[in-house]
Amino acid sequence: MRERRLHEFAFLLPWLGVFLTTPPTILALASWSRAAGFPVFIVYIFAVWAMLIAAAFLLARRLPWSDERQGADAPLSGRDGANG
Amino acid sequence: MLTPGVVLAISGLYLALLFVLAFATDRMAANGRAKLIRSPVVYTLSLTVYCTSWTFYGAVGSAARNGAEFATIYLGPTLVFAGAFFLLRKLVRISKTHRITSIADFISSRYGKSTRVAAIVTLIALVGTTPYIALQLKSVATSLDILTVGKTLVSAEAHGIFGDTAFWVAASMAAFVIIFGTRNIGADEHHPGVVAAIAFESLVKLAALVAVGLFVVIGLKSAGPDYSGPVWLDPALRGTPPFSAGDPSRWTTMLFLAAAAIVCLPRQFQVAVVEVTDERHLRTASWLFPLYMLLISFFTVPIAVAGLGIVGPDRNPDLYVLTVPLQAGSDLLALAAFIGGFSSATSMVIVACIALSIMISNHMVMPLLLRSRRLDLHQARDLTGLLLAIRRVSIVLILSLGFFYYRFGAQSDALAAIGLISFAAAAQLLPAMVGGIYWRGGTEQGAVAGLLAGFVVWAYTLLLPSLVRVGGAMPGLLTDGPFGIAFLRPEALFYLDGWGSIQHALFWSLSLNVGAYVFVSLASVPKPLERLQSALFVDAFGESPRRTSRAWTGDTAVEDLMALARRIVGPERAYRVFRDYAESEKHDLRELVADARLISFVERQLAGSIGAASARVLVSRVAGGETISLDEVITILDETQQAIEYGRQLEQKSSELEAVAVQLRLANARLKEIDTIKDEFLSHVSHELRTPMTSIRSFAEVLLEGDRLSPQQRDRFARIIYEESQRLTRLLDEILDLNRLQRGDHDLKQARIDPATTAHEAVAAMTGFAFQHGIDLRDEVPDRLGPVLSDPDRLKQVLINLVHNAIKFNDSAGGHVRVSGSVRADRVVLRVEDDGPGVSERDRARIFEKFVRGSSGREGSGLGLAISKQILEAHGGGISVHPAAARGAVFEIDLPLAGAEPPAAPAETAIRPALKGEHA
Repeated sequence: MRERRLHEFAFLLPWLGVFLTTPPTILALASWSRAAGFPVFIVYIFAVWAMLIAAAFLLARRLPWSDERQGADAPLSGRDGANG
Repeated sequence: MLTPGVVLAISGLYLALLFVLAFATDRMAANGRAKLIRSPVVYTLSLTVYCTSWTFYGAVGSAARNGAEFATIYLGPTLVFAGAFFLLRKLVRISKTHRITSIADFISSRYGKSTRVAAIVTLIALVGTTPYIALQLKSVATSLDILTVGKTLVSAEAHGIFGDTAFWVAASMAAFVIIFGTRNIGADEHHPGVVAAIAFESLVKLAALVAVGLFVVIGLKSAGPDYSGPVWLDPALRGTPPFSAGDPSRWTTMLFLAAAAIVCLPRQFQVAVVEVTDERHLRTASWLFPLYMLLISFFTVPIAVAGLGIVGPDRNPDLYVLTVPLQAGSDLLALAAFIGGFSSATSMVIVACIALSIMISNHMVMPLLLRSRRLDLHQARDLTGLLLAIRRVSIVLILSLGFFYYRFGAQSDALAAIGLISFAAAAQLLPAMVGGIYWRGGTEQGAVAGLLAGFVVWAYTLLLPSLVRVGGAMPGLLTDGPFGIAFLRPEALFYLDGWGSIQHALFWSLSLNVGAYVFVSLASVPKPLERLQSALFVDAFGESPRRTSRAWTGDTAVEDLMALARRIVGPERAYRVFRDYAESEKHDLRELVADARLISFVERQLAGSIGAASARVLVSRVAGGETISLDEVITILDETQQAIEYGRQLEQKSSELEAVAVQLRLANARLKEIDTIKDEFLSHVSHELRTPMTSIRSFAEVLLEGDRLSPQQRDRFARIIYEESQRLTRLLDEILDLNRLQRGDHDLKQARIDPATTAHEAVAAMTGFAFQHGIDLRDEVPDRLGPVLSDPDRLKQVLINLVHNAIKFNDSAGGHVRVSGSVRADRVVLRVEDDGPGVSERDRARIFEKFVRGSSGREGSGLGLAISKQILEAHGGGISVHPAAARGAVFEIDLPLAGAEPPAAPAETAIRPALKGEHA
């Protein structure tokens, strides 16, 4: 159950990133930037970026990256096709 | 100012360092000691080949011109890597399973190992990458000019070919790639030396850019009269582009382009998917690669602002990374920045060349060789040399193309423009690739249509205008359209005007690309192999991770396969391939059979060297044609998509076997039962015969020896002997009778009678016996029941037997036996009901067998009911027993009504018992 949630969050993450880094979201921030006389936009982009990296880092440690085999550098089993 | 000699010497030393590093790594890897190279961190660093000199210098230029837009080039890949668990992991999984050698190989494998698709992808990659290579060469030449002369010379005009630094850079890159990229025809295109060099370079460029950035942020003070803080915080520069958000429509386009490029650029695919040694490296890369990109772009804005402040907006912003330290008088830092830019350029050129040379040799030259039939497969010549030569020639060709593009074309454009043109070309591969791993419906024809449409529109709307601008020829083409047709103006296609050229080109090329891909796919029928591959790709995370196509159904000789492998991958590797296979299959190498498994195994090994499409063609020549039929594909692509064909077949077989085993078990049980019955029968017969025989013999002995017997005794004994022999005869008669009835060899008289009459007679005959036993026998049979065809004597025998049993076994005092009859449907039914002990459920099933007497086991031959059953079946009737309502048993016999017609032919009645007997 927990792993399933994790999976779903992992799937959500890039889309959340897309949402945060495309118009219309960034249009609002671009307007703020102009109004504030301070590069709010750049700061925002780097903040989102850092957040994405942090989330990816946390997820990467928990997700089952190789659930089914011991990695590709294990000697080729030669069991082709069938699960043998 | 640095002298050209110093800069060139340092560049040369740097290149030499790369060669040594790559050489040492290759040696270590060959000895199996290159653990570090296989680490996730090195993998991540090799991914940063994405950060070319275009971004090394160009990001600052982009920030100085268009504001925050520069971030999109890194944000796009960040988004893709944040989702690495899904898209990238799937790409890697598929590529490892199918031994993919390049992006062209990947896409072509997906669409039925199509040679056409591979060639088109290779063409797009080549045309899209050449300007990019030119761009790298240009950046090296330009940065060198800046560093040594202080201004940008137009190198191509200032120097001859051999005086041009770019030529020497290209030449040394060619040497590097040839030495370390084509050492051998690899098993899976791993180049540890190259990866080590790339990883090293990624650190160099990061360090250089961070150094310049820190210098700007900390060290660079403004020289202005009213502000003396750091330049990049100068209030006078607040309003400059680097602080702005830029153009949102371009923003989205660039974000998308960068996201597409990180998987679709041939060199990115090469490092991220082909060179990866372990799928789990993505775990680290998913956050470390975005972190690297964040770090390398962290100082972009300060450098851009400082450039605008102290170098000035009139100088090329693309070179601020160099000109800012130079302006500030820090030659050493400028040199470091130059080396950073140099390493960005070289790493890109190296990887791009490797990726492209693999694609050109596998997907353009090999198919041509295969088609020309020059490649006589029955010759024993080793082809590895030829393959390597093809790759080496391709590398020289690619770099020459890039160099000449740089000499004649890439002079005027801003760096960013060329980079985006290249990205847009790579994006054309996206629909066929991503569509291919998530949508089963994509077909080869759809992929060809989409790729071609996208490529043509890209070339027309993006490449052509850039060439026209550079070349200066036919300027009217852009302003008025071809032949004055404004509708077809390359940068305002179909009157879509007023957009940036990138957005415009990307919109049309990708719309038509996706449209053609989807609609042609839907309209075309995929070949069986395409269906198979599409299922394997889409379902890459299915139950069996190692499953691959097993499309070979033909047989061939192992020797032929081995000869083929020997020629493609060399004798040593070929031997290892077969030995590994034999080991994994627990076979002796000499006893291998060239079955579908071995053929597809060899095919995949070859695919790891020459690409799936060529491997398929070659193997099909040896294996006598790929004979996969639609049925077989459907067999393989089972209903659940999860189970694999092999397992499924096994399952099916085992369930078939199970069914057969169940049948066999049942049959065996039945045989045993019959055997037991036979044994019982024999023992019963012997027992039944022995009892009278024993008494006959003993009384006869007594008579023979008995001189002292009285005449009365003598008479009594003689009578006993007489009775016993009569009983014996009766028993034997019954047995014979039963056997006759069972064989259908009976002498039944067929008469039209009313069984009611027979029943009355039988009851009347038994009245005395009932009286003796104190049983109340009642005849409740109606006077008339209906005509049946029957032997009246035999029917009476049956009824008497039933009534006799009912009376004899009725142990209740003052018991009752009731005989009744009725007509049910077209049958006459007679019932004999008693209130005796009844028949247990177990006995009910077998009471009609021979010698079965019921579990209470009382006297009687045990043949009566068996005979009754046979008699009734000979009449087309039946007998059954049920428990009575309260206590006792009901024996029920039924006979078919004869109807109104005259007696049926005896033949019919003779057949029916036989039929019935089968089911009994």
